[in-house]
Amino acid sequence: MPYESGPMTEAMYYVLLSLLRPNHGYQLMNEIEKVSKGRIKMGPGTLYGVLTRLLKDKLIIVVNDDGRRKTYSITEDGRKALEIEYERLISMVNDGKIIMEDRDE
Amino acid sequence: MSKSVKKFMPGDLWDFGKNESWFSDMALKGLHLQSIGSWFAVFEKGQPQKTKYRIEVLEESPSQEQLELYRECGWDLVANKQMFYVFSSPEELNAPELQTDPMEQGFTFKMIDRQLKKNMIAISLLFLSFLLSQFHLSFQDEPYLFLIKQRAFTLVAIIVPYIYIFIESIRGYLAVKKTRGSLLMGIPINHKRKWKLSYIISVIIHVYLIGLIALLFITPFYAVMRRETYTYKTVEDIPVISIYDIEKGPVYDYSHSIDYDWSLVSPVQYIIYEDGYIEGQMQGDFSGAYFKTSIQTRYYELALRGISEGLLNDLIHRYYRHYEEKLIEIENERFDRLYAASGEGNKLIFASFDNKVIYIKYSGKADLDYIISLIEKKYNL
Repeated sequence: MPYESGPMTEAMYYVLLSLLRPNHGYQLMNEIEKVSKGRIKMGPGTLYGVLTRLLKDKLIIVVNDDGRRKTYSITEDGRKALEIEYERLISMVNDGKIIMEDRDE
Repeated sequence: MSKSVKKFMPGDLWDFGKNESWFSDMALKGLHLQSIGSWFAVFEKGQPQKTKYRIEVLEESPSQEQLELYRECGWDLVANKQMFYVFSSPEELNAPELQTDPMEQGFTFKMIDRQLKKNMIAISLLFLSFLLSQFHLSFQDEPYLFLIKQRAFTLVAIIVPYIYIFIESIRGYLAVKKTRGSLLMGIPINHKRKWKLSYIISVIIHVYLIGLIALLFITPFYAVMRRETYTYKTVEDIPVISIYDIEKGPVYDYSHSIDYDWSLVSPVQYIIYEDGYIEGQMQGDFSGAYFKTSIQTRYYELALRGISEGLLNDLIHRYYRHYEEKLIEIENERFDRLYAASGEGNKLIFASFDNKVIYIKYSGKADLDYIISLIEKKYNL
């Protein structure tokens, strides 16, 4: 089932992005900060909220659970959703280029 | 061991902002949140401290790893109730917020939203079926006779908390919907919402409700305890006129019964029957040697004087029915109202004065005016 809930929140986008490489919650927060080049400092509450939601929507799965910590990974659906969102963002940015053209004139 | 302080906790945890700022204000007084029960929050006495509190909704209980991450960020789990988890952090630590994305937080509200909606529907259905089950009451054509029964008060005592729960469930649902709506629009929760006024209002409402519920439980027992059928008491002990007051000669074959009832609205209620035989003028054929005489009295003292008129009307409605003699109002300044019907056999008197209402049905030889004069004398009117 492809993701059809419209535009993603920034938090959701970056969690999916960071889970292209399997990771556990604890390190995910640092990973997100790294991936966003320090722009996003996600609160742990938000992080676990997103993880719960993504698990429910089957965009990510738990690949390893040793009882102490869970390792998450993106699913095929998740990857598709991420690609769709990426395309959407790209066209948004492209469409937004008229701002620059306006400025040039 | 340090001391614990219990404090009444109004409202539900879903009112995040208010509860968070309440906990913070308590911590500033040296009361640190320890646990949350269904009615009370428990605080541990300690040093005053500037503390931030955050309430989180978690669908599943948090894993060890999750709690560790929270702790790493400066947030410790202090209390938990159902799906609500309360975290605290000393203000000087300047810990990063737990929730950095209002929209994502809005999604976590979906569950509370759904649960409160379910609650609201269930409570509404219960309330509706309760109202329907009591629907026959709206057909009461003698409401005051019903009102003086303790049962009437019990009904009110049940309905009021019911209405409160009903309103609260709707209010809760709408409040959560609103919070969720503003989160989804990107407006974060105000962690410093004012709580004092709504706290005080809530305490007053709860004290009132608890008092009402306590009354609800106590008064039926009390009413049953007070309700009596006296067999040892004589009518002279009771503030009504007796057959002995009316009849001048001896009364033979006398029998009587006295019933007493109690309710909040009418704490003194007597139903009294007396009958016997008096000597008459003997005829040649021995008939008429003895006459039957009887009196039935219903006597009410009311806690609310305002309902005496209504009660009098209801008594007339119930006991004057099927009586062929005309009921006439008698002008008598000693009574608030006085009605009588007088026929061959029976004489009916309906009277109200002060907070008292009386209905008398007499069958015997004495005349109406005489009985009314006895009533006046009995109650010093």
